[in-house]
Amino acid sequence: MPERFVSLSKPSADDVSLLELADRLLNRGVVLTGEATISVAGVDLIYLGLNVVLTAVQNLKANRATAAPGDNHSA
Amino acid sequence: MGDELEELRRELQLLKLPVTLPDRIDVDPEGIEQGLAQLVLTLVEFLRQLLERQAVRRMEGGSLSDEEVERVGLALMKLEEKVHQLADQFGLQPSDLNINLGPLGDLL
Amino acid sequence: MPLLLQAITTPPDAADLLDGLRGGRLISVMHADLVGWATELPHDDAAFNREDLLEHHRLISNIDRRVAACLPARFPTWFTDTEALSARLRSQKDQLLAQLDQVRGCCELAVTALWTVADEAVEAAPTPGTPGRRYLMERRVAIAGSDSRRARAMRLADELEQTIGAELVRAQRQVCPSATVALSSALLVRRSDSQQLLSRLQRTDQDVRILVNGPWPPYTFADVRSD
Repeated sequence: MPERFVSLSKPSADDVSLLELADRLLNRGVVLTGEATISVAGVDLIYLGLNVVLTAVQNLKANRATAAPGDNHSA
Repeated sequence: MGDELEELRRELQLLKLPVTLPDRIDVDPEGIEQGLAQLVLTLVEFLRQLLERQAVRRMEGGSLSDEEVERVGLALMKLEEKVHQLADQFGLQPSDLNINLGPLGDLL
Repeated sequence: MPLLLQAITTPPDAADLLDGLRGGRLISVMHADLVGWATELPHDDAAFNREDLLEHHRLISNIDRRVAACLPARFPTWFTDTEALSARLRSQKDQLLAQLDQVRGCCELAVTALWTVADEAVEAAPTPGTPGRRYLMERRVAIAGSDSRRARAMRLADELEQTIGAELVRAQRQVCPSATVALSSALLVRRSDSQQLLSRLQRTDQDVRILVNGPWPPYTFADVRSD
């Protein structure tokens, strides 16, 4: 197991402070769920941003129902 | 991004995010089958966890019939078994698919 | 020379000098009532470590003290050069001024509530029913914690926001984001009362431990992008 900065099962107040700060400071990059870079033989080829594409079907239907006629959603 | 910051980011994801993709999914020509399997299974496992969460949310929200709950539950259960089985066949550990074991993860 | 952005703010009260990150020169780029503060540095993300992250935070805090309103930049936010930053200030002028208006005179408090006891529902007897339903119910507990946990976390969030009362400008909450964390809230509050608020909010209940961090510059309520 790689050495960790903080103990995740029982984080101390300082651990939490550092992580909360990091959460706000670090570039969103890959912190958001559903983002990954797919590489082949060490070469980054595809950026995957699933958060943008996936949404609960219910939300989609609800959004479509309330969208104005002129609205245009692009991924 | 420096190693320290990558590590911080990883810990942050484990503390506050429910489901994560690994930052990078590498397909290695050395073990091309295994690499591809890892790619596919990682994505499948990630989607499976998202699907599971959504199914649970729908069940809680009352928008699934009893029959749907049973069908979806069985399907997801079988899917989970299958993913673990396939991973095993390709010599992949759960951690290779970034399967978050929750509190148990700290014990391993 | 590439610029690593620290913050975009209203014009400072005084023009005293500050050092930049890693010994680089801190410069300010101005347009209308906007000031962009940035360190001149070679663009090298791989070199950065935890100390740099904390230094970036200290720099932003120093800048925040000198201005009426401050929009922190995430780390690292790069601009090709001063012209690029200047162009950004020009093109985003209205949005930036609107954001600055919202955070004027405010700071951020970060509330994290950690569970101190195990989830009761996990200890409970296995749910009766058919296999598919049982599986989903088990997953529900594993994923979201029991109903009582989520309800408890929501009540806690409401209660904390009420405690702050009129001083609360905006709140962004995450209920049960993970198995360990009951609640994670970012609160935009008026600066004057923040220290007192901190002590009022921080406590340990029977089932949660509430940690409050800050006051910080309004990280969560700013949106500054790179070029």
